[in-house]
Order: sequence, then structure tokens, then C-alpha cells
Amino acid sequence: MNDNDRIDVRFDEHLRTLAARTPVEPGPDPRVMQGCLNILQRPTTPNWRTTVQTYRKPILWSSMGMAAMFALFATSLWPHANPTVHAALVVEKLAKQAAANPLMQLTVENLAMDEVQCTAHLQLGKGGIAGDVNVRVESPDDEMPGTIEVEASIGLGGNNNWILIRRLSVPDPKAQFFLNMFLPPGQETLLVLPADSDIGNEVGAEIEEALQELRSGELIEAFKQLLANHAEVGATATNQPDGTIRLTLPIQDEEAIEAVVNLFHKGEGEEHQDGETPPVAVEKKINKSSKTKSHAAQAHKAIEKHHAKHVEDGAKELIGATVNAVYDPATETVRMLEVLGLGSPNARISLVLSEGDVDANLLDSARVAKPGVRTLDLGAIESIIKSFEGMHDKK
Amino acid sequence: MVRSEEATAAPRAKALALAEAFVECSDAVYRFILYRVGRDRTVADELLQDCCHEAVRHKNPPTDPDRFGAWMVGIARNLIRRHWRLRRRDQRNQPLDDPATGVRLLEMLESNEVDPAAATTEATEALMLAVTALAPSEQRLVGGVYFEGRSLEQLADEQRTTAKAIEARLYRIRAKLRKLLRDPTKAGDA
Repeated sequence: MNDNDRIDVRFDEHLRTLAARTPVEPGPDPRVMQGCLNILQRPTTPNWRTTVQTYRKPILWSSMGMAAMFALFATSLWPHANPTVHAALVVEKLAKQAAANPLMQLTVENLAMDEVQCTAHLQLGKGGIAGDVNVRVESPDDEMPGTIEVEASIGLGGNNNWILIRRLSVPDPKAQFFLNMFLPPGQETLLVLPADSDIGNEVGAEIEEALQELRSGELIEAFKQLLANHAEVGATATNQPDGTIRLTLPIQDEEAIEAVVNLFHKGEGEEHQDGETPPVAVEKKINKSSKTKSHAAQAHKAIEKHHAKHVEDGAKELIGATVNAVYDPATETVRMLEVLGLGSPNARISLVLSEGDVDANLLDSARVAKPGVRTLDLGAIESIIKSFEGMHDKK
Repeated sequence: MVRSEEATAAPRAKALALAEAFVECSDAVYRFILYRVGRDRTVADELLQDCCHEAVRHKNPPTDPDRFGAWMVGIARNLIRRHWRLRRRDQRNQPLDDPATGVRLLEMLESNEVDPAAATTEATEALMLAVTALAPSEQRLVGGVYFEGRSLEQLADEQRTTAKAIEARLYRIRAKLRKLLRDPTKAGDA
């Protein structure tokens, strides 16, 4: 028996003596326990934070990235419909346009994914992001069926960050009552975000990240290869009166879609193996312990899998949809990309690329909101709360 | 939009798994809270329910009982911190994981000469803080052997294992307890 074992034996004996004279508090009261079980067994209601976290990336990708990617797919098939236009040239032009930080006008109409329906008209550019968004989330809570509906305009650009709530309704009458205190029904409310709020930059970084993917030469090359393998999918090209060419492609080839999804997955895996910064939520978990690192890696994988699942689901929704692309041979630019029938027959996502920046009028809350709109300055409210806390501390 | 049956079945299955995992670890989580809020049962009841609210709001909570227990303890720790932050005036009642008390108790338990029956209230408090910082399954074992005086064979029968395996687990748990008494921050109780 070594020293450590001897110490353990003494510790064991003494702990028995001490524990025998130490009363242990009983567990929770049965009524409290029942209350806890009731809470846990109630189906969850979606909250805006998890909804935004869940759908932010997929919506951004499916509306911007995927429309562009699948339009690349379409435009690269051009030689089969119109041999005078070379597919590689079109792909390269589009990559060049993306690299020049174009103004993107994104229109999402009647997009329905799971419980979320979305209609949006947004401008995205160097100066920020601005436009109107209508989101409708159906509650999966059986006890309180209904929908959460948000109608809002947003303007996020540099230090000028605001959200104009036109309408916000939730199924829970109590929650609606409290909401009405801050956001009176029938009246618009302008939420001015704090000047030091980083939301504009965060959105900018997301867009930049998406564009970075488009600019990637490797991805373009991989797409060209993929297109060569799936050439015959029935594209049609029409010469339009204004001199542009409209390509229409019904998405029916499941095999080709699967190949595109695999390309996405492969790209994502490689990125992170190269040591790219993992998502913030995972990064916070990483510390010196190797066990924690392995947990963080597992969590990271789970998040990747979650995102990949959304991309895959989004791609599956594309079967039966139609992709349109408009190419202008005069300026050698792709003017518009459009996906019709994604998720529902009347859904439409379109992306118009042009030079310039976000319309200053859309970024200016004074021009978007009705005169005399009720304003809530979140920065001011935050500083009042802080000063109140300071007074309380001094006391 | 019409929801499929799977869409409603999945949240129900998740809720059921959460409730089952909670039943397994509720005593351990409750005692973790109770000994850290000055044994105020009203506050502990409230915080336990708050833990459940937090758990149910989470998108992907773990449903494996051991992982769920550790996760709930993490939530409880944050709620306890918030509880004391909001009650600054009462902070003098806050039980502190004073390393000196823990170390003194450890020396006493490891020594040959000192009688543990003479331990002070602070020392027993330090012991309970260390015991409640163990994982739920470890707490059950320590509770059964040391506080309830049950035999290894009885516990082995209950857990469908051998007395030898229980003995080996207890050896590891004692080592962990000694570590916790020496440095309470090892359990993240900073």
C-alpha cells in the first residue's frame, strides 16, 4: 500500500464519521418537482432569437448564394442552347462582378421553409443593408396555436442602424399585451440601435463571407467540372427584344443537385480543416483542456452538420423549381438571377446585380418612417439602465 | 402551412426525454442550488424551476442523464450568480467556497490524529459544497455509502454491477472530492 492509498483509507474512514453526523437536505418538494416536469413537458414555442439563429445563414445562403450558384449552373450550360456564348466566359464574368462589390437587389416573395414564410425586398451593398421584411412563423405549440408575424423595415449601415416595426403580433395574449405597451398596435415604432452596435458590421461580414465564396476561383473551377458531368438537363435560351438573353432551366435532375450539395459540404469541411475561425459559440467553449477542446470540436461538427442539413434541405426544395438568368452580351454581365417555385409554387427569389451602392433614402429612417413616428432609442434606454444601476451600486 | 405529424411528434419526444433525464438528476441539481443559496428552500425551488425554463428554451439540450445533469448544473451556477448579484445587500449570507476552510477540512480528514467529529459547522458546509459539486451519479453513490451507511453490495445490486466496481468508482470519487476540497474552483465554482 503506497502513501496515496494510506491517505485514501484515512480519508474514507473519517469521511464516514463526519458524514454520519451531517444531516443531508432532502430533494425538491413533490409539488415543485411536478411544476418542473410540467415546464419540461410543455412543447417549446419558438423564440425570435433561436429562429433568427436557425434561419439567418440558410436564408442568406439560399437567397443569395444558392440563387447565384444555381444560376452559374444554368449559365454554364449555355453552349448547348446557344453555342456562340461560351460558358466559361459567363462564369468568369459573374465571378468578376461579385468581386467588384456590386449592389445586390434581393427580392424574396412567398418563400416558405418549414414554419417560416418570408417576403423581403432588400438592397445589399458596400454601404450596408436596407429594405422591407415580412416574416411569419407558425407556432408549433399545440396549446397556443397561432403565428408570430413581423412586418418591418431595416436600415443597417455604419453608425446608422435602425429597425422600423410596422406590425408585430404573437399568439400569446399576455405577451401581446406587454408588446402593445411598447409597440402600440396600428402605430409604427422606430427602434434606434445603439451607435456602437456592431450589427451593421456583422451583417457586412456575413455578406462579405458569402461573396468570398463566389470569388473563390477553386469553387468556380469545381462548378465547371460538375457542369461538364451534368450537361444535358434541358435548358432553353431566348433572345429578348432589349438584346439580352434569357436562359430558363427547370431543375429536375436530382443527381446534379446531389452533386452540388456534395460540393458545398466538401468546401465547408476543407475551410475549417485549414484552421479558419470556428463559430463564436464554439470558440467560447475552447479553453486549455484537451477534453474541452474535443467537446468544442464535437459541438463545431454538430453546428456544421446542422448548417449542411439546411443547405441539403434547401437544395432538395429546388427540385421542381425553375432558374432564370439574364445575360447582357453588350456589357458582358449577368444582370439577373431568379429562382421560381422554391418550396411553394408562387415563391420567387431574385437577385439583380448592378453597379453602385445602397439607396441612401432607404438607409435614412426619417425618409422611410411616417412623420411623427414613435421612437425608442435602445442606446439611450441602455444608458439610463446603466446609470440607474450605478446609482444603486453607490447606495 | 400544414405541419406534418413528424413535426409535432419530435418536440413531444424531446420533451419526454428531457423530463426523464431531469427526474434522474433533480435531487443533485436541487442540492447543488440549495447549499449555494444559504439553504433557503424557497429560493432553491424558484431557481430549480428557472433552470427548467432555461432548459426548455434551449434548442438542443442534451438528453443523456449524466450530460443533462452536468448541463443543468451549469445553468444553475449562472442563475445562482445572478441571484446573488441581484441581492447585493444579502451577500453576507452567501456561502463562500473558502479554500482555507476546505483545505483545513481536508487536512483533518487525511490526518491520523484529529477527530473528525470535532469538525466545525464551516467545515461541514465546505464538505457539502464539495459533495454537491460532484456529478449526479457520483452524488448518489457518495450519499448511499457515507450519508446513509448502505453497503457496497446493496448498491451493487441496485446498479446491477459488482461490489468491486462500486469500490473502484468510490476510490475515484474520493480522489475527486479531495481535489474539490483542496481547490473548489476545480468544479468551476469560482
